[in-house]
Amino acid sequence: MIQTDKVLDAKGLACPMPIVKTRKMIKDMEEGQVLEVQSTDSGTTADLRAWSESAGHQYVGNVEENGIWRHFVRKADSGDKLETVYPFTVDNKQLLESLEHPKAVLIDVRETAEYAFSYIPGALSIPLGQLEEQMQYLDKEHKLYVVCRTGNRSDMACQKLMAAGFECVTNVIPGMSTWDGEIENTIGGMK
Amino acid sequence: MTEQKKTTIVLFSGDYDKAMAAYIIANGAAAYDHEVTIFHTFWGLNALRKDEPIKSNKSFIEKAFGKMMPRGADKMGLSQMNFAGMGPKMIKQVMKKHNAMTLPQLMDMAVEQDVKLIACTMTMDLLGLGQEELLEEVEYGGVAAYLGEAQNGHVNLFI
Repeated sequence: MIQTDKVLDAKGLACPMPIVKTRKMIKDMEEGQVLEVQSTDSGTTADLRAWSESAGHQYVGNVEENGIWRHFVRKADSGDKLETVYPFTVDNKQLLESLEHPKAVLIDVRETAEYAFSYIPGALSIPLGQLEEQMQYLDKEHKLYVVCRTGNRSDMACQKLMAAGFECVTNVIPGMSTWDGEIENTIGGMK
Repeated sequence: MTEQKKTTIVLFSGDYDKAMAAYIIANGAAAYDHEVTIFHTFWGLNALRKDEPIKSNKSFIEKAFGKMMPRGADKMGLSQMNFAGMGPKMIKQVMKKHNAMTLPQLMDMAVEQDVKLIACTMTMDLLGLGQEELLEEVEYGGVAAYLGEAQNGHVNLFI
């Protein structure tokens, strides 16, 4: 199940309304939040993708079921420039080797919508916003690797984990934005 | 973020379909966070008319013009297949079926999105239209007002 912060029902609306309404709704959302746009107009896919790119938002992907498209757009955050402070890092290539260790666990802290469309096989989904409540299920004996899209959210997650007493935590930089290895998704027939 | 982009559209035509295209692009551009200006001149001014008759001191020719031209966006004809008014009736039915917005709705939406509507005062004089006959939201200007916006424009259309 893909969790989003807001859902916009644009079903039955014709061009240009889905875009006009999306802009209105996303304006009041917080950076990093995900909006689901439901539409029945097939042109919305190309429109939303182009609009998101121009407005600086992240078009995550879409799923189509029975003529209804569910689009996922993540509101741009200022964190698109890489600013990390957590000192222990690996790059994407080193991550692959590191994951061969039997105690290695990969945590993906992106939003569930982003995770659903592509994740590294075996990665555990814990969105950054839920990390604090879910870290109790993590094992302090494990070697934790934390990944997001560009390395910013995972940097924050690493700091939180370290503060909570996890000793072996490593940030993956840059992460999914340049990941060219194997991926899986939880969406059948996704585009 | 990046610098504010601008879209300017000259609406010369008084056809329902062409005005619709202009206003759809205007709304789309506004959604792209552009600063949008529609400059209405000649027959495009009719889209800005109020739909009720307005009393004013006009010459005979001006009165005749006022009678012959459509009063407001909803009364405009199609550029093709108008069939003496049957065309617009039919297309409005089809639009309802497809949930497309009508021209008056598109214009309301544009105003809500802060699209600037400018009426060309010189052609208003030619067609005998007074400010009291046009919608409240309209601003007034001439070619310089248009060029002032257009010279920094990223999208420039003449419809």
